[in-house]
Amino acid sequence: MPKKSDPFANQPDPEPDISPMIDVAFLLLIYFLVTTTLQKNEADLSLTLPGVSAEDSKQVKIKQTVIRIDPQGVIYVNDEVADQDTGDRSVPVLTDRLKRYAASTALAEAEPQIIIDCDNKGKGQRFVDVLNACAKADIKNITLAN
Amino acid sequence: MPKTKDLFEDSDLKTDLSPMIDLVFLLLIFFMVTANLVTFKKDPRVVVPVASDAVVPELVEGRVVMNVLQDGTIVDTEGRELSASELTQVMSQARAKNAKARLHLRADARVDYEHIKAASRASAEGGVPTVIFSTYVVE
Repeated sequence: MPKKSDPFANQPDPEPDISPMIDVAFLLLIYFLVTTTLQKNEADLSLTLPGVSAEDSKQVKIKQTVIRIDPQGVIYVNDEVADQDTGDRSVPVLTDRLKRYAASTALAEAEPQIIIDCDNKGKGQRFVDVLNACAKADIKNITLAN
Repeated sequence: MPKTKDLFEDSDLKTDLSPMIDLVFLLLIFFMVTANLVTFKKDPRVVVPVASDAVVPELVEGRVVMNVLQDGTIVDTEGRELSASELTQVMSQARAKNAKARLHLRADARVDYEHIKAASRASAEGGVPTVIFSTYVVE
């Protein structure tokens, strides 16, 4: 009996149709592109309130600086006016003073500590401006005055 | 001289789509991953302040997200209003569950400071002294 010849011998190689897969991939891509650009990213400004400290934390010498914010948003450092322009979020005078303060405490081998005394009617943005200036000067010991 | 069409008589021209699919999948995976970074609901009523030196969060674990609306109302991510004493309770429960619990405060930029102070104090009374303020890096 003669051998059966391959019936597909002369047929071209089969190829999968990948265009629907590309369609789906594009659809998902466009979906994620649109949904991810809708919201602005939020970042963190961290603050650890004092009063709860680890038992093994070592005692450090502390030099304090008091930052007062009045209801209009004027910033005082140790009762001296620092930044009067309430529209300027970069608070240049305060930032400069905090940087120098951090440098001087580092020389004295002490820990810088900030007490923020914000008026109850002061705005959240102004308080965050001061926190931001502390972050710029790399000061993490912050206390909120009552 | 042969005609142009005779030169390409036998060649079957096809575009190779696989590099394009590779690229599309790569972009797709990138956007899927970045979309998953935001794992908590953001109350659209809160406009957080701007702070240029804030850091973009890496870990969302252990955070208790609270919103402080412009009028000073404290609202959780489910939209429930909380008093200061209820917030203290929530924070002490969170601390009991996770020792690394932190308060993530989404306080409105226009809210009076007294409400921020009240929320921070409530958190500290609940045993959670770390407060993270949500901010935008750029306006």
